[in-house]
Amino acid sequence: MENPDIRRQYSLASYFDEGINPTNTFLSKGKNLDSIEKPAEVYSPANPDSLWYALYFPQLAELDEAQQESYLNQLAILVERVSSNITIQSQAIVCEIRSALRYFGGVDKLHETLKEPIQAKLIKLALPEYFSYAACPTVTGSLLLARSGKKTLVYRKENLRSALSKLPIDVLNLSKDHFQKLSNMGIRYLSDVWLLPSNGLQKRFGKDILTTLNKALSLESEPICNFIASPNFSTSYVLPYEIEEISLLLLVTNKMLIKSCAFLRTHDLSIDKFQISLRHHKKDKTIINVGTQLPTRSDKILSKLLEIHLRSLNLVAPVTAIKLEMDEFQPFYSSSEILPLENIVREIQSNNRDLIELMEQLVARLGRDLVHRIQMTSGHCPEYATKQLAYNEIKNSKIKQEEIPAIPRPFLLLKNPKQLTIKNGRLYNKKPIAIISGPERIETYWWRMDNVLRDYYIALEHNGSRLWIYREREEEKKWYLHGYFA
Amino acid sequence: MKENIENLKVQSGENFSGINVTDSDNRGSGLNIKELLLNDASLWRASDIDKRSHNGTGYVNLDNILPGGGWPKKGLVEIINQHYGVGELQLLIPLMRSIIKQRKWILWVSPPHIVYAPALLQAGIDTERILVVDETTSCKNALWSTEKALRSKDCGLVLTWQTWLSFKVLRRLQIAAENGGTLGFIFKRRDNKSSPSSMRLQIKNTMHNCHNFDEALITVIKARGNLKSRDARVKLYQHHLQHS
Repeated sequence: MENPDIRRQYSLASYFDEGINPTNTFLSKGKNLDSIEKPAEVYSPANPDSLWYALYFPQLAELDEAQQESYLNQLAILVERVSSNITIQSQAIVCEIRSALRYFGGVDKLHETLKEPIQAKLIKLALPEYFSYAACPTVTGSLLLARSGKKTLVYRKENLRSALSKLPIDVLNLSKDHFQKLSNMGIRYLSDVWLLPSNGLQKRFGKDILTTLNKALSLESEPICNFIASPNFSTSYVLPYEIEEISLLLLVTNKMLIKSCAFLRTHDLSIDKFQISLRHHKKDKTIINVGTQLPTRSDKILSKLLEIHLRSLNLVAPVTAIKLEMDEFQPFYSSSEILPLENIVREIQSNNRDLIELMEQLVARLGRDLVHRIQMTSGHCPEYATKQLAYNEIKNSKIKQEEIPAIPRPFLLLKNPKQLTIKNGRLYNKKPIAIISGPERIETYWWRMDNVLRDYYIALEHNGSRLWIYREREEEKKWYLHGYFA
Repeated sequence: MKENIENLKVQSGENFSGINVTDSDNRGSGLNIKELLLNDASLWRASDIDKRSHNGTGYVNLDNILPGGGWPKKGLVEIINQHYGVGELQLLIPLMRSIIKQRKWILWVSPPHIVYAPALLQAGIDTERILVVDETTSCKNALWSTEKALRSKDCGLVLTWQTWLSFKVLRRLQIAAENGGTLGFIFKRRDNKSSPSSMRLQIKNTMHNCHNFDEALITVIKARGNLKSRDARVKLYQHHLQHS
């Protein structure tokens, strides 16, 4: 890192020795550079010893705002390992690092700590892995320096003006119009801007340029919004000995869940999914994802679901450690009971907790594909008139009365129609079949290759089965069993 | 009194060694029998069967031979049908309608074929409150699902298809249904010699011609309150085309 100004790094003790308040006063108002040396009670600008480290990601500019915000939030979580004062700016993350310099052993070491995880995260987000960075005593200053792409480090405020003056005006992120105007005036660098009369500059280009430059030079206060990471919860437990017995594992996981639910209660949150990873000796870890249909914070519900997941698991090896992670939370909404005094007959809520719990348990044990709901769809072809929906899929498409077929349909429909045999001129399934009524002609899908041309009959098999059979009207005119009037 | 006690022992099939009922204790008062009946849910008097605790089946001939005049409100009912399509689900149409009306759910566990939504709508059964566990589910998981659903309060009816079940499994399901206050139907191909379930019915075909297509012979093999098996001819297909 280019280092125009080298000054000794402050230790925490030296802060107090020199009577400087080590906490940063973000919202304090600074008049000018002179005020730095004045006592704190007058006008304290941002802590004179703050050193702001900016990471600029130009590749984010191509993304939409929501995505930018989400990516920056994810990156900011990584920055939390070097600083607790983080602010998110446009396509950049700025953090205070002076207080961490001693711990990390200098800016370069601190940068090394951050570089690898940030690059890995950028690759994970399918973004180019480069980013530029700079550090100086003001948030805006470090941001401008980082935008310029010069890896500059400015320790002292006195040197800010000289460091910034060499930057091209591009770093101000001006509108095309303003940029053009300034270029036409022959202004290329920030030092040129400073030469302009401030009143005229404000009149022509608005307040923004002046404010930005003043903030960069610490002539104006820099109110910032501190980044607060969304809460996440993880707890792990290293087992004293290897365990294979599920009931013993459950004792541990239940304790973890109780702990996690206590966390949820204190933060007024609920969750609808969490992850348990089981570590094994010399084997890959087993990951179990548990999901609920409705957000919850009840350890009983979660432990019941987890038990079903664990019991249906084939453990590859004994478990040596367990980790529980929760990272996506929902706000908690409590449901209120209906007062018995109310004389209003209310419908029982259709989303009954008890049933949802049952569905969740079924899905946890059997898998999503084996539990489903059914719905009629309007279609002439019998096999397409019924549709399977996911267990939690809600479709409000009501079938009109006239769409329901008038001729009886069987309760049970064969997935693959079974071909019937003809012996001595009689139809046979297992026993001889007698046709009771029909035909009902169904012709559809004539626009496709597999068009349907069938005559349906209701029939009675000798053993008492009421059948729905059809005869193809094409080629060999084969007979098929398609359903049971169960 | 002595006879009564002995009858109770036979009915419940439980070991009463821990209760210490002696003849001399009971000769004086009937209190102990009352206590026994009160404290043990598996003991009941056949004469106590109340019509209020039953739902009409919707088939008059069948109601007439069932002890409470209909289906029990909770418990396990076995329906033995050797072949599919003998009207085994027709029998339940009125019951399914009333369950849906109560805004409860019907769980179908491993039905042998696709549950056909248009037929349910024809019979006036709303498909919004129907949940199906696929037939490819293993038997163990199907029984687990059945037991869970029987214990659930919001599941009004559980239908499951099995070839045969052991006494132990049936007893477990019966207890689950009684505790959960749910009615469960098991469609079986073969009958057990004895069974702990509340009711066992067999559907047989009566005639093999087209004149009485919708008629079937239903035998009540066992029902709590019935002393011996009874049968009735029932026109099963009368409800099929009644739109809600």
